[in-house]
Amino acid sequence: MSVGDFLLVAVLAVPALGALAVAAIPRDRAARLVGTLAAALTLVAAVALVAGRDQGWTTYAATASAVRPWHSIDLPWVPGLDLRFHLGVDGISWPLVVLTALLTLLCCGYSLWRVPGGGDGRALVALLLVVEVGILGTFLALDLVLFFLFFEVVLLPMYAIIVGWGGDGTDPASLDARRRAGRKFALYTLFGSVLLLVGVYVVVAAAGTADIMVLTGGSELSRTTQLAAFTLLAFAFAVKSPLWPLHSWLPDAHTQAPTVGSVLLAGVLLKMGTYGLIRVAVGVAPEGARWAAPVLGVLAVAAILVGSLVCLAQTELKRLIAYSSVGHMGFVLLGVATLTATGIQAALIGNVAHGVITGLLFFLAGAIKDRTHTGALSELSGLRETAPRLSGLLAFAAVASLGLPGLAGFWGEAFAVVAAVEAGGALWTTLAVLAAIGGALTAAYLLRLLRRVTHGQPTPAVAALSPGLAGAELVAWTPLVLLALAVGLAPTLVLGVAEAPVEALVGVLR
Amino acid sequence: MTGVDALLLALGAVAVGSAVLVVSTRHLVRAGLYLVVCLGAVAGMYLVLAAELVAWVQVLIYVGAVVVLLLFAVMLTRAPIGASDDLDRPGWPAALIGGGAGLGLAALLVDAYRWTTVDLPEAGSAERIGEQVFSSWVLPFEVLSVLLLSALVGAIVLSRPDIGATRTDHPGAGDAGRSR
Amino acid sequence: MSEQSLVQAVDHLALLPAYLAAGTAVLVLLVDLVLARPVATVVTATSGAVATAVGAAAVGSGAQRRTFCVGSDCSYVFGGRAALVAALVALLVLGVLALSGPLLRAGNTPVGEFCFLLTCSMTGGVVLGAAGDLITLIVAVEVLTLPLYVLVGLRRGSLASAEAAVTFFVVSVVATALTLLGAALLYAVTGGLHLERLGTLLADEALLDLPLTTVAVTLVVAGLAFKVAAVPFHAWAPATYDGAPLPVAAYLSTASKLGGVIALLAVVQHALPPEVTGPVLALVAALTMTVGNLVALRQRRTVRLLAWSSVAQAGYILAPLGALALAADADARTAAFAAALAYAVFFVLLELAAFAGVVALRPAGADGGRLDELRGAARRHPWVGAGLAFALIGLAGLPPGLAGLFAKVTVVRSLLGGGAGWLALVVAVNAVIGLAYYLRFAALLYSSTGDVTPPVVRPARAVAVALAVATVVALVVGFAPQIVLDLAAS
Repeated sequence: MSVGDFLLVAVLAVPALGALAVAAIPRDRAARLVGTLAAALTLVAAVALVAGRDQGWTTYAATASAVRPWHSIDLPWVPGLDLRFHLGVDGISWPLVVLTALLTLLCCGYSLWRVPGGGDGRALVALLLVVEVGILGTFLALDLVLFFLFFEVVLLPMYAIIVGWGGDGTDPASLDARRRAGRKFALYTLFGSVLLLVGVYVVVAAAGTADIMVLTGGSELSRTTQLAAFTLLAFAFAVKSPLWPLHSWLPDAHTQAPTVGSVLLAGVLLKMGTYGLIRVAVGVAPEGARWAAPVLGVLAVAAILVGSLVCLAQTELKRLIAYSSVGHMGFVLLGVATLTATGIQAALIGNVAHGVITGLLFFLAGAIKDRTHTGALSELSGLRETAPRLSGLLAFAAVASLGLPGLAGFWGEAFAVVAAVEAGGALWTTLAVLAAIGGALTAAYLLRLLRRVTHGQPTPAVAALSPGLAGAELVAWTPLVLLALAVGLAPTLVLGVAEAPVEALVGVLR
Repeated sequence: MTGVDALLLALGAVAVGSAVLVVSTRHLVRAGLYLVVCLGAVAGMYLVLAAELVAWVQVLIYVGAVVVLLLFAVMLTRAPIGASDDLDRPGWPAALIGGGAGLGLAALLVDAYRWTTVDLPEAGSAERIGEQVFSSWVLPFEVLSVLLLSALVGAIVLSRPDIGATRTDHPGAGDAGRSR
Repeated sequence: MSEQSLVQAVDHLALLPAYLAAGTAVLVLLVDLVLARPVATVVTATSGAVATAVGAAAVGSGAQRRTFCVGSDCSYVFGGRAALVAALVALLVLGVLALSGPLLRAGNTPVGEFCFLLTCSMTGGVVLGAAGDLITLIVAVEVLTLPLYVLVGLRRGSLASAEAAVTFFVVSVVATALTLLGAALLYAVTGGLHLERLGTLLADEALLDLPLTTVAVTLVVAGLAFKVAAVPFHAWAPATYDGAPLPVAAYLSTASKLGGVIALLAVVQHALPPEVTGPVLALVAALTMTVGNLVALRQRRTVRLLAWSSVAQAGYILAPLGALALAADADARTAAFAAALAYAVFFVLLELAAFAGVVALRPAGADGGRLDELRGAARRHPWVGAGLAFALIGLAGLPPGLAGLFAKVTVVRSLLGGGAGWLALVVAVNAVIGLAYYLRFAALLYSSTGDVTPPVVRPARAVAVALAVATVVALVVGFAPQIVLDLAAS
């Protein structure tokens, strides 16, 4: 077993064992510390995966597959169900793996400092680590059934996080609200994943294998199978991403979840959908993808516009950020829908940028809500007067989110529009124009948010704030701020590693 | 039509007629007695078909034991001897289901066999049945013994609420059991 | 016929599991009579169940054994599947005995008779797996069920229990009558009663065209569907489960249901034409899971919820059989049967664990009560609560209940492999509906009780052990489902 393979296993095993250890250690503080340590080790292993990638690239260059992982392990698990324990990492999945590991570490670290009311901090950290295992496994799986399995793993821990630690206050009404939000999240997501299950086995029954490396390109599958498979898979991922009109679980879940839950939900959980769309749906059923691309594009642009317009009318901070995710993921899906190299690159960098920026935004929103005990925009004006640093960071994150050139958010949105223009034809040009209008609307609502929150006279809730930030908050936010800058200034950080695999993927699409 | 056919038809008519009377009469005791006629007619049919053992088993067990048991039960529970008007329920659903099932089955069987003639197998003598039971069908026969044993024990458990009642013998347990 | 010798060679080794089971029953009766000590009786029953399981596994590990043969048709075929069923039934009896601890200790229940009836029922289950003809099959099913009429009514002084017993009795007798009538008509059509012989005879097109054949097949399938509690023959199940003592309800929804499934599988696989049974079973399966899940959503009583959910689960078990008519070849059909059996195995395991959890969290000898009475139970008993929640999540088919997840995956895979995509979608949608109430139940265990202080319950040790064992086994087969798949396919 080479170092790379070892790292691949470690990326999953460390958080899994960490979760067990956290659950087994009776002392709360020590357990949280161990959990954070496990998350840190996972991040180290995830970053280290990039080492030795050139070697992997040449080794697999001889094979015909469009997926050429840097490292991979392939062990039999359940032959009766065509399930193999097949993991691998390449340029498409690696940035997301690192992002997941980073955000989990930040969330665990944040939980060291502050545990949301309602539950035990130990259990929260354990659940965060389990969620991390599920998400990382989804990004690493190179077997369709294994992919489905990890896709499902995330569901219940996330539900437990929303219901157990979410909301504000313990009165029956808010308890009810977060229970409803949690249930909505669980049922919607499960609806998506059972469709994924059916889709996966439509493919497996037709092709006789579940190996993504073999299946990518879809040459073996008949057109009917591909159309059926793509429809099912696209539905499944559209619920997760979420694509308008299947998005209605998202605002509730994000609003009710505790800060760390929202960060993980928005930061990486949604990416499972878009990643799955690129790697599984488009990769396995390219013919189906070509057939459904216009529909997907139209829905993506609808998501951008609807998301932006709804945001303009929002009066609650977390809900506004949650709805902004619908719009941003719309850009990502538009990128995927073009089925061009530029579009998929845009989707990938959009994914990472959204994870970083929205993660930061949710951290900030959580901090504001924790301090003022309200999320209503009307009660938050004048933040600049009493908490200048907080409001400065919020301004930075909002500006990054609206896609200012030089910050991370720019590349994904700009390239998605460019890809749509490049795709040509009346439909795609119209979509590009509409998406650009959506981009302008995004700027509008984020600036409105800033005006409402930072400017104006301080309200009583805001006036009582102290200007300082806790050390843990700074530690949790600094990496995100730096990453937003770094990805904005040097997009090759993401695009460099993704270029070759995206070219290979687009190669089989033609 | 041979004499056997005529006999079968007549016995069948008696069986069906008395069966209808069993469910339509308002006298409990009379219902039991009609049952004797009905089961006896069926036993007669077995005899005509030369299945003598089955016929005598029918007479001994059903007519002899079961119906007598029924009549005893009627007497022991002091059920009214005369007509019991309150017992009657609307008869049409039962008539519909019973008639439908009977006619449907008859139609199916007639449709399946039409006018094919089936040679009667060897007579259903005691020897032949014994041979069958102890050569081809030993297993179910033996398994049935477990069934009967458990039925026996089960019946006792259900009818004796004092079995298994707590040793301290508080009066409530017995009463509660009986009141079921 | 008459020249055939009346003395036939009987393969006693093949019959060993049945001997062990029946012997246990008789021994329990004698021990109860002679020693009259409840502990001795329970120990006898327990060791008998263990011996039966071990014996079944030992005999089943060898080659297939056939005995009681007439020509090439045998009434008793003890192969891998029969061994699996026998061992499983014996283990379930063991589990139910463990769950009965609090009930038996509370008094009011005759220990000797309880154990005797349970082991009698086990005998039926052991023979059922190996039954090779319709008569043995029906008798075995009856031996499995008849003791349960009494066991269901054993909650002395409870009107609900008596009603449950009577409902169960009447429905079950009607079901048996239907099956018997069907078997008689099949005999009238074909002149055969052995399953494999019926299979070859019914391959004849001319026979299949007879309406009588269709009616006979329908009657047999419908009668057995009663036993499985499949819609539209399900109405007895919730009332019966709820009225019965909890361990008996556990037995009803595991071993008894398994028995019905096995009987149905045997009949459908060997005897009846798949072109007739396939569409019927597909419809029954789709109805069963949908109705079961939808009604379970509205339940407020613990056992009723489990009962309706087990109706729904019966639908998932039957679903692979729905693909029979479309299945291209014999291989695909065998895969469908294996999938149904594998799902049944996963299901009984998780269902037993769920009942064990409920028994552990309820006062000794109590019924299932309302769901609200379990509110916050997992906060008071973290381990037992976690076990119950794990079982429920497994029944819903989600990680960490990997056993349940793989069970659903098995069903969906076999359906898509068999070309019944629509049924796979029905299964998928039902899994979502199912999650709604399983999640509600599981979340209830962890929610805060508010200001109500519920009575303190100490889970009985035997029940806790049963729960722990079931959970550990569920975990193991969750990570290595191939074990179950191989067993089911043997």
